[in-house]
Amino acid sequence: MEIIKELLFGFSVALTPMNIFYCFLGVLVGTLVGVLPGVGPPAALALLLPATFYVPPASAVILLAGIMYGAMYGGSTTSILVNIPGEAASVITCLDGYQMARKGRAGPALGISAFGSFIAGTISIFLLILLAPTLARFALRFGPPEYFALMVLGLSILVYLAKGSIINALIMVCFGLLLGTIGLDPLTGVPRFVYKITTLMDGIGLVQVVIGLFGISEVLLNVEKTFKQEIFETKIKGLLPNREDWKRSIGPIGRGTFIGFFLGVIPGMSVVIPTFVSYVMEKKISKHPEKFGTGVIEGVAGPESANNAASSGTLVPTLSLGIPTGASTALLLGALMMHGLRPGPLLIKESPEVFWGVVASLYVGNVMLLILNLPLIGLWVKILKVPYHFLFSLIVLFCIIGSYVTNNNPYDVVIMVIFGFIGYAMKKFDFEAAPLVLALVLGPMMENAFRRSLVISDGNLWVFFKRPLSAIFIVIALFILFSPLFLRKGRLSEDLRSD
Amino acid sequence: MLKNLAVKGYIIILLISFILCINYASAQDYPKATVQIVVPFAPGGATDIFWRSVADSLGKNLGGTIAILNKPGGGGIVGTSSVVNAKPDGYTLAAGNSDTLNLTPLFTRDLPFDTINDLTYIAKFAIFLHTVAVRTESPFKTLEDLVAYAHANPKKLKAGTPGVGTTPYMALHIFNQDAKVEIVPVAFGGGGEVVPQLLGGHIDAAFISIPPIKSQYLAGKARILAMFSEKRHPAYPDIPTAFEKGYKKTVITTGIGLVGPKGLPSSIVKKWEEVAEKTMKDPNVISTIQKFDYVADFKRGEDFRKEVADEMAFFKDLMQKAGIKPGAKK
Repeated sequence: MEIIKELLFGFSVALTPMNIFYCFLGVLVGTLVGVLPGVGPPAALALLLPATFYVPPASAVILLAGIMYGAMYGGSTTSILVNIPGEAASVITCLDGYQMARKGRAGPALGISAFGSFIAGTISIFLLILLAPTLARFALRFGPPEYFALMVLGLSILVYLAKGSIINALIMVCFGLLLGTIGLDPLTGVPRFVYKITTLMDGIGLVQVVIGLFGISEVLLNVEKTFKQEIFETKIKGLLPNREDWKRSIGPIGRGTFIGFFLGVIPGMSVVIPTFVSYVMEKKISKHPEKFGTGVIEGVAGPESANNAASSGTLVPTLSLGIPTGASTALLLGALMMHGLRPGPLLIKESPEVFWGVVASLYVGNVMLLILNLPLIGLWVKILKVPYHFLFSLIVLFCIIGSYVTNNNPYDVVIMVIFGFIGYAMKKFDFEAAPLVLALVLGPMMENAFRRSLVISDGNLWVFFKRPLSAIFIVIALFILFSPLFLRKGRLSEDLRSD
Repeated sequence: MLKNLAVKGYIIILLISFILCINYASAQDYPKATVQIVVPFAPGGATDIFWRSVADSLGKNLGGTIAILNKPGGGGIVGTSSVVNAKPDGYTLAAGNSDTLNLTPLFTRDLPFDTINDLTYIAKFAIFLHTVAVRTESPFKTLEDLVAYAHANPKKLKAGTPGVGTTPYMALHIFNQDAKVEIVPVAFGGGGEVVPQLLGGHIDAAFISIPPIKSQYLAGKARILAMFSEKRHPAYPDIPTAFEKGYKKTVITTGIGLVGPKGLPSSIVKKWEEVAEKTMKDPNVISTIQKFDYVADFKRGEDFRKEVADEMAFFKDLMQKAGIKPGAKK
């Protein structure tokens, strides 16, 4: 009962005209930022942070949180329409979303993405309210060994992303892991594969790789085809998800919400990971896993819900413990501190209007985003009707902008172009990009976690098994890796036998 | 044919004249465009917050807009090197923290530039202090407890640091030498990553700056055993310094300064020095940065450079005596 009172108080804060305005501004900017490839919430937050100085604290945080949310909604738009992730988290949506668009079902894809995000957002807000303190304490239990074990688990299910040859997917995973080693060694500062090129000191940028591998390569491929066939089916089959779509999506949305939220709580968890876990899970439970990658709605509904839920999840340690979980939440904390607030366990006591106001505004923001995005679907779908030879030049332009703007570094564009060509070659030879991207994300995290674990344990490898949480993850990973050998059914075992 | 030539010639002349228009700024009309300050660290970190909170006042005093750009990586090297090769027109500058300038070079091989001589030192603005902290559940109630345990158990204590080549990391090594103990450093990606590890009990202690640990300290979830400055921090009169406890060598703070590419016109540097001095005297600015526990400390460009260079010599000497090699594992 207490909580209802607090929540109502929060709504009273969130629903003042000024805060409604800030919420709207936030989600609008967030959506735009999300749609622009390569520009993610951290960039927008960083830009607007100084502006929030003059604004009361609750409003500032409402604005910034709105941006985080809006970006999640917006990011899926370009993923579905033109196969370019609006930001790293939307990579998975490209896999089936874009294929749906090509079949003339862009509308339902965008629609289920919006609805899924809304439902996930709503549920996760309640989870946030109810579980925040417990979850935050749980999040603290993740030390380097636990991170390593989780990453190993992640790697073990990476292969399930593949819709084609498993061996090719594994090759891509290795390639991704190798790419992840480029840069300065995090524990000793020794340069690896840098060859004195300063841009590479920080490693190959994920954004540039993703835009190149997905966006540019797709453009290159399509430009070949336009002379022979249409890229998108001209007959648009409906603008909103139909009953069949809903029936198939409810499960993925629900599962995606929980996966996204609970994984998002872990500090340092990249938002890409919950989306990919959701995708793989849906594929595994589906009655027709081989259709994944050709445009099934479950492949959009699950990941989209997951990424929205994960954004709420990342707020749990931030709001209840004052611990940043990533670049966006770090900025959010910075904003709170700039206003003289003390993020951390005391926030809810000292500034309840900020805490509850923000929580309530998350819900308000979700509603706004739904209302904002649904009518836009009609507009977006019309864009697909533009003849490809006009569309693609715009796509390339936005790709260039997106990859440059992250670091204002022209060499980033070069990297994007190189990966565009690599991606094109990959598509020709039936190598998939998704495993590479995920390996690029997981690899460095895994390595850092592994090495730190060993420093902490003085070189003792058993540390991963002596701690219950990490042991569990590793055992699950081993099980997943070796189960195809024993189970008779399953595509993996068939593939292994046929390859 | 001739017409073609004429058109081409005209275009070439146009292009050349555009290029010639890009001239170097003089102090009178500086800044004509947005001045970009590259912060070579991730957003939300201590340095980043400092620059974002003073950007407004600085911009006003400078007479232009300041944009902050984050280019994290390599302990500050990636962002700083992007400025080393920038045009010295005063529109691309970098936040130059003393540790990026005199510590990181000692720990990074194949550094593409000389941090002391390949940059123009514009001004020093402030300093921030570093601490050694433990969580409340820790058995160490004072610095002496920590040292006693460390003496008895060499290499057993694991302390998190924000990364190789950062000031707290160096503080740990200096402290190890001073107190004659062997605390093992565990490098993370910034203070923000260290704090949850400390709270979760995965590391025994943390050597970090104040901002990441502050809210935990105030909430009673963490204890700050000591700070590494000569005098106690004015906002934290109850926290002792390592210096007063007898560790006379463990005095190390990070200077927050501004640097630019080599060859920056001295008129621009002078203008910045005036702006910096004025801004750091403004009581509004002082109260803002104090919210983040910075202490204003203005120095002119050349004085800052000298301070950084002298400190670097001190570190080099210390590392030699301690046997820490550049690019080494610890």
